Amino acid sequence: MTAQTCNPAMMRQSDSSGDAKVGGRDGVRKTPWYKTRGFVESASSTGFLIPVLAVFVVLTLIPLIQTVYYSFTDYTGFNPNVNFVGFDNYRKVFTDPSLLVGLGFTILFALATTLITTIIAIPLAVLLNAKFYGRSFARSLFFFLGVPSLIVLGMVWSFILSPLKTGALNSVLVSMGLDSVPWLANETLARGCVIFVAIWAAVGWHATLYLAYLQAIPADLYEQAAVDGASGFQKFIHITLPQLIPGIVVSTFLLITNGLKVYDLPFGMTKGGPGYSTNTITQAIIVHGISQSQYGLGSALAVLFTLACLIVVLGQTALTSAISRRFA
Amino acid sequence: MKFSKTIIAAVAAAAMIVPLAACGSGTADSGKTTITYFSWNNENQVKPIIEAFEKANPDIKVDLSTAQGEAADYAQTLTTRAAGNQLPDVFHMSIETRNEVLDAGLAKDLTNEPFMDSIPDTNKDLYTRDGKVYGMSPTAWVGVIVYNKDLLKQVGYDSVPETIDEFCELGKKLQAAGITPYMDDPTVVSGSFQPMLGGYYAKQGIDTSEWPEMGEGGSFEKQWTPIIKEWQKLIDSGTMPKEVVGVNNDQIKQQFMTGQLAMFRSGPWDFPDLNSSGVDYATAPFPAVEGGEPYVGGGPDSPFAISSKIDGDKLKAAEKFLAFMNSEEGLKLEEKNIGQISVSSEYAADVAPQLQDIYDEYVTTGKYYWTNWSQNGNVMATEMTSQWQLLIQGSTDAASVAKHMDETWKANAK
Repeated sequence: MTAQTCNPAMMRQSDSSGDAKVGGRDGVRKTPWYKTRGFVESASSTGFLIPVLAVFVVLTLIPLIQTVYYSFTDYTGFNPNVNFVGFDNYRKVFTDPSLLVGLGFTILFALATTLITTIIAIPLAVLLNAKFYGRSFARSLFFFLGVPSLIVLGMVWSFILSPLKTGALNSVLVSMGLDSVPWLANETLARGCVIFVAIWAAVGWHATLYLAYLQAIPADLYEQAAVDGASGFQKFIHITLPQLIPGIVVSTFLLITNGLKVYDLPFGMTKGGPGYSTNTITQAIIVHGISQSQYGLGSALAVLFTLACLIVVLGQTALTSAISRRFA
Repeated sequence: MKFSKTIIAAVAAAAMIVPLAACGSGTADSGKTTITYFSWNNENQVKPIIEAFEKANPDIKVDLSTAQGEAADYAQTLTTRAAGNQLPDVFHMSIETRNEVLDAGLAKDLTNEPFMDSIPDTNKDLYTRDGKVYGMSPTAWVGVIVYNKDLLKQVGYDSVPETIDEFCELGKKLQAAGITPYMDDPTVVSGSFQPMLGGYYAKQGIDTSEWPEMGEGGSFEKQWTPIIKEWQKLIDSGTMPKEVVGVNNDQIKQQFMTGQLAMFRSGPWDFPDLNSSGVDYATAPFPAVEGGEPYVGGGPDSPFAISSKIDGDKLKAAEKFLAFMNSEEGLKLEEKNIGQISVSSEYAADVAPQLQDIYDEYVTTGKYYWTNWSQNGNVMATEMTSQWQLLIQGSTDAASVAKHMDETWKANAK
């Protein structure tokens, strides 16, 4: 191999003096646009989008369009003959008390789990980033909490938080001479228990996420701060937290979206009870739309919920972008 | 290099899309007619029956699928399959889905099939429309109070009292002895309220046209309020603890099997577990409310239905399957594996000894009841379950519960 053939600049020169300059209006033949390197590269790259696009169209876009269509009909799932009912299903959504309770709990759940998980996960990540004996074990332990399916966790916790005196937690309380607590039998306590278990399950996973971001913070920033006499708290506030902003954006985005679409955990723990107190919007969509053969109503609920999620997520993205710019 | 990039993209696209195409694939067993059957019961219970059918009909294969949960789970899966145009060849038309299935014309008319001759009229009536029968229910179910004989003996009782006031008196004595008196599953429609309501309807001679669930003018507020108030005595007296709201049926059964609970609402489906626990138990009807009489919960089992979309060999195979399920061999297997009670003239039920008295005094005399909603069964059942949970908690009262039931009924009227 000669130096000439290895030089890209010379290769380009060779190309242009070969194919591209032969023929054409000015006597120079140009490479057809579809054979140019730029187009071929671009077409190949675009090709990689096809799988995602295909899945998006088949599994998201088409069902979304169908959902909007069904939301204006009385489709039951059984009978293919549907009637147009205008905004009747949307009117029902806003007048059904069980749906409004479900909406309230979903928002409470999403906000509480996002806020509290973030508040606990960041300090936990800082602790797990420090050097101590058994650090790897501790990291694995916290991460493991987020691995099992939430419906399985819900069923296990329903036994632990059983309101009976023989429930796992109540047995401990009773053995200590305390009264048993109606954990899942009381509306307020049941809501609190579901949120607690969700945080318990999520905090380790999100701490691991923050841990990855923590390890990317340059050590010299801390060294310089130490030279300037900064305390541990000051380092946390002025170095760690600003450097974690990208991580916070990702973590809170995941938490809020998972919180808004939650179904498995409350269903596994309480099936939405007592009454409708731990009912969520996703559960309502499934129950009304499928169990109760009211696809029209379930679809209207799904359309409204999709729009609400879009607004929340766009709002959150705008907020975190503003914060990111502030600390950039 | 450019070529390989394109190839990778194409392969990646194919890898993502091919699994989607696989959704519609199926399998075939050569030389046999395959029918799909979506069972109400779990696989362990149904598999021996299917095996016996396939042995008797070697040219037919049954592709079995099951719902592992409750009535709502079955309805949910059936609705999804119907919506996806994947209705099973043979399925069960529950009370909850009866109207939707019949409205959509998804069940085949079984009126003149020979295997329907031995089905009693009461079991045909529920699934009859315009004089045509669309479901075959050769068995019935019964829900009763199961009680621990030893625990009741401890407080001086040999059996369960027959009125609700005496029942609550027993409850107080059990509580005083540190024993939880009674529970029924709060995650489904109350299994104790229904027979109390049936006993009241029967004793008062209230015509079915006055029953609110029939949708012929009767209101929940008028008919149900007094019985809800009577039922509430179970909670007010502490006979059924408020904490029952946060537990499920498995936990309740476990309490009974470990000797911590004296009575619970159950039935033959729990007998195998109860027998293995070593608890000395017996069964009793539900006590009568003021103005009512003792009754048990029960009704025809969810009937078999054949999809109206099949014909030819598949239809013949499905008909053979139903004929087998209503044959002596089939009914014996259903009794043994599922605990179902035959009401077909093909086979006289050999009920469990614990249930014999109930069978003789209540089942054969028609003293059983379960609400058969004439519209939106799943909607009403969900609303009823939630309202009862609030009632147990003390967050609402009988009048409000009945009012909510009326509102839900009207809001979903067809």
